[in-house]
Amino acid sequence: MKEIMVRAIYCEMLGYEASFSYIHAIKLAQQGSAIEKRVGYLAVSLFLNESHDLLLLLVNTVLKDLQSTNLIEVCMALTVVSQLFPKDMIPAILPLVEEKLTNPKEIIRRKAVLALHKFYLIAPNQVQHIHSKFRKALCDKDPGVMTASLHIYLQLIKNPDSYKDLTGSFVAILRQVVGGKLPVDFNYHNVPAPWLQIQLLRILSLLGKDDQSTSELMYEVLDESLRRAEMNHNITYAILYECVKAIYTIYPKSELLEKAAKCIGNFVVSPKINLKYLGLKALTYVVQQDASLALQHQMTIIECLDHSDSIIKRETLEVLFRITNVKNVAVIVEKMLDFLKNVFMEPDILFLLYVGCFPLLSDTYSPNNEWFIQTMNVVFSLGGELMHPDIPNNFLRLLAQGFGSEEEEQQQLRVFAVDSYLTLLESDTAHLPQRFLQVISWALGEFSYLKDGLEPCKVTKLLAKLLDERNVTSESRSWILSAMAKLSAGPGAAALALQVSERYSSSLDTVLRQQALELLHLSQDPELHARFFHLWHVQVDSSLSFLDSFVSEALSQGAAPYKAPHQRQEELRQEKALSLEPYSISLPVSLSSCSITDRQSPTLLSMSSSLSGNSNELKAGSSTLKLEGVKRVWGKEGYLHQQDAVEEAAQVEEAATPALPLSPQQGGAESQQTHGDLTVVEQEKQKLASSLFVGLGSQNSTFLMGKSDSTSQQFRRKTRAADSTSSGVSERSSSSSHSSCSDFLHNNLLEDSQNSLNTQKIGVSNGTHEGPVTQSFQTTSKETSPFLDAGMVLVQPCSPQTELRDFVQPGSSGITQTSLRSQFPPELSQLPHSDISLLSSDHSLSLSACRAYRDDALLFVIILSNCSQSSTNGLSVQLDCKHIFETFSTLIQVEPHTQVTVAGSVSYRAVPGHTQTLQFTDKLFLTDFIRPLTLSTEEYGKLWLSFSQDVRQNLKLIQGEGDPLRATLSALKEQLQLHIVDIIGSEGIVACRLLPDSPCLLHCRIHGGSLAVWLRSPLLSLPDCLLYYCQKTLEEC
Amino acid sequence: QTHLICCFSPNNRQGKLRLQKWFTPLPERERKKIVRDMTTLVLARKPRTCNFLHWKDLKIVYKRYASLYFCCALEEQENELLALEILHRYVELLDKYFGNVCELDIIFNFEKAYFILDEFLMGGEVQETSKQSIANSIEASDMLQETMEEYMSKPAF
Repeated sequence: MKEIMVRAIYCEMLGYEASFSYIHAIKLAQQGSAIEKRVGYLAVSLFLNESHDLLLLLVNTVLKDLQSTNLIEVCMALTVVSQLFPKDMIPAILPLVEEKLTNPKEIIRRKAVLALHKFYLIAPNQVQHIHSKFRKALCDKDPGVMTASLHIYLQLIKNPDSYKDLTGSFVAILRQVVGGKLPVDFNYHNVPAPWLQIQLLRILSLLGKDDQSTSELMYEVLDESLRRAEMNHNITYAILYECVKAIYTIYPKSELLEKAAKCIGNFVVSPKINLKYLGLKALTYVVQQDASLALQHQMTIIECLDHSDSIIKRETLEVLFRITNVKNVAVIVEKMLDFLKNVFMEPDILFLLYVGCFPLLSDTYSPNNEWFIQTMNVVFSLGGELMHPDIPNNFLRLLAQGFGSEEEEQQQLRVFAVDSYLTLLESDTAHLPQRFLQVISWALGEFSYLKDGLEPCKVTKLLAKLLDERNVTSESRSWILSAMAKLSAGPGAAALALQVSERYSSSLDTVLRQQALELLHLSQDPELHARFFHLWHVQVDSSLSFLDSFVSEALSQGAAPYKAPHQRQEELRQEKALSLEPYSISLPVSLSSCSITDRQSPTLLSMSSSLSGNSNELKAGSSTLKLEGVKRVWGKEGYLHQQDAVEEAAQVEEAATPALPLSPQQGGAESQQTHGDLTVVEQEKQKLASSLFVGLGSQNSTFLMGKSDSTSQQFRRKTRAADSTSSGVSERSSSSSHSSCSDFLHNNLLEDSQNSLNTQKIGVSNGTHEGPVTQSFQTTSKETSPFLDAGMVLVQPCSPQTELRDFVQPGSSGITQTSLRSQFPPELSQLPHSDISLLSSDHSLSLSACRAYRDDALLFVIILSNCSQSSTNGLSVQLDCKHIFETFSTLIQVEPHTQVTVAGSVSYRAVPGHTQTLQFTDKLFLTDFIRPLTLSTEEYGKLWLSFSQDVRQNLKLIQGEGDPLRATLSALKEQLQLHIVDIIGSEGIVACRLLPDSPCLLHCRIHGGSLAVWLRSPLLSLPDCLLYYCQKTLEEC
Repeated sequence: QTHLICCFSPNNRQGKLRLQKWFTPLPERERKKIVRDMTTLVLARKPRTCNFLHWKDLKIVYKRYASLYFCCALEEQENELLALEILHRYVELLDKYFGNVCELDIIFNFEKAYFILDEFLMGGEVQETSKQSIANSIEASDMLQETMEEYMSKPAF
């Protein structure tokens, strides 16, 4: 059997159908002895994929083997589980795999961790409850298990906030690995655990992104890995590449950036082609943050543009694409088009990516309209049928709606388009791709009236000629016909239209026949034509009120009332006999559906592909020479600045090395000639370089242009925008408060403005005794802000008439929770509030926050404390309010979320003239916005009936002394601020509201051993979110 | 994450597949198409060009070892050099197991080659990098297999 199965695998691999053997493979895995089992599992994992029905038969086998005492059987089972396993069946084996995490054998623990990694990829919600065990795996004494757990963390840390505390451990691990502390077993060609290193670098870059304090922890170790990785083997290059990427991702540090840039430089100029490729790839990544880096390598980039390997060329174009700006766009696009033309000579090569890039490019930087249209014409005629269908559609939309420019420009653009299309149609049209023809006919039909003195008859004639071309497909024909219909109003056109429509009304193609008839009628009846084409704005009754009578009639005849799909699903769920308990362990149903997203097919988004042997070969060897020149002469200041000097230097260089490339033995004359050629080539390249790199560095643009105009300024700002987020200045904040009363100051926040009597917060406790004042400002703001509706208000701080009150605060250099609490404004301390938590701190300032719950609002209190000995000036707090507003408006009005993040920054001057910034983020949970809703049972009943949709879920009951229902409900009440309306027998009704006043009603009933809860609310997703917190609360109890 | 590892020998500008292992679920037809396109693309490469290719949104890394091409398909943002080293390590492992591996070894013992791959990569991620420990675990399974065979062939009294 085993032999036969092996043969079946072989057949399948060669492409022959062997599906009859699938079932035998499963049987073999099930019943065979160890040896047969192994082959059986192998066959199964090669034959079937995750959605195959037969896999269900395998579940039991896997279960049995996981419980086996035989190490090898367990290993086999874990391997097959991580290779393929149906998503629905994960709950069945999850406990067993989890148990394996504590197995004494290292290999089993490792495989179990990897299997869980796989589960996490398939269904993240189902492994949520074992996150703590992942931590244990991370701390495993065996480095192999630890390495495996990093795979999971790399996935988890895609959402880095909750893992910042692990940064220290990751840094420590990396330091040990780099320092060679691991057993020799893990070395690969004398490099200590390269895979582990790369994994860690990726994790660190995720953690350090846009986060200065976390990034600071890792500077040292990154520096060390850069230093340790000697340039000698592919694997170290791979590490270096990853390292450079990390350095550019995290909060920037100039020293490291410099080193990284140098490292990339080495890559790019390397003679090894793979390294060159990787260097270009790194460059692509890096120039997005700092375009001036491309300047240093401009000559190399030019070299690569003419490289014989088209993959390298393509990568180079990608770099160029990133540094596109208003000045060099024309040159770059020209280069790309050249490349396209070359590539298309080999028919099997699609090169859609670049074609896709063009419209994007042209939109942002296109120098003028004419150029844009012409470029698009080339793109369309080259791209042809291979082009992604979105591109023409997008282009037409652009023509129709414009891209935000002036109406006049818009018209101009259209006229250009019409002009150029007419010229095209007048020449030979046979070679134009169908898509382009469609674009042309649409644009002519829509916009040809814009051009003065153009007879519709002329256009129609051209179109009719096009229509008769043999190679035009019927799809394009129908585009043309509809364009003609639009134009058929004029006198000459009508006659022509009649002719055409007569011919096509007997066409075999139904669509064409239909359109021809339409054309016929429209052209005969000018009035109809006018009405037809000017009646664009149809009135739509969005409430569908005209259906009301129909609905009521149907209802009166006994039809069932409409139920939302969501509701129907719930009902179906109720009817099902199978217990679905395991599926709803951790999250409400609506949240668990997100798991599929990660698993798209790798080729789903197919845009680009390429390969070609393009042979624009330069004289081999000449490159080394020029590279030398590049390196020595051009520093950071850029190349153009010293163009002349460079040329001279290059020539001197060449003269000094007569032993040029190929020809030491060919004699002087020839080398002399090559020399001449080379300088010409060289000069051309330099010209090219200067046109390509225009506008990248500041010196360059001024040097070339004489003045730096505003557009290039804009561009530069744009490139910087990428790292501006990390630079700590939140430009977006719609409100920032600068208050500098005396030396200290603080305060600003989200507050409720209606209440002018009590408010306020903020104490600064100065560490020194001589400056012991803490001021609290009473502020109110009468201005209405969008937050009013949502129960949140933004307060502009300290207007002149603010009342000052002093808390005298004895100096406390160490800040503790208690000292913070003592500073808590008395007005607020009466309100229920959360614990004060430290958000962030540096050497002189620490920042804490707390949430206080008022009946009608949530107060978010920020407490700043000065923990240094010196005074702090110019304190200002910025909250990213735009963001907050967005999140709150969605949170409260549209779609409740379980949590949102608040971000902001505090800047201050500890030393005069030196501003420091401290960033912070905090989370607000849905529960912060929940308040009890007090109402009577009757009111509850009425309200209940007024909402239609409900969500149902079974929750855990708290088993304690006394009535379990009562205990459970009061636990919920305690934690979530719900209001218990009534408890009758085994049923209880509970109500709460989401600020400002969106009610949510809960109806709870003891059902079996659990608590069945129905929730109703006018907000669609509020019940789901609330359920999540109910579950969480009850799990914790 | 690696999507696919495969190995083929060139045959008339068309690859003859010797080994293929997928780590991501894809329909059968798609798989065949990818493998077919990949082999023709790789075989069309000229010597002295780089070892990386783009295929739609995948990246293909290949390397030639004697008469065999080893390929893997990765996601765009993966590190190509690392993938190259994964291939290299796999070949080293095969070499250690078979002792100077050649194409015939893989043809006649391809299930062994799969077992080695399973020990090396799991779910598309590198599981174990140490040559020694992979050799150990393969040996352990082989041993079990042999003892079981012996046991089974004896008549049971």
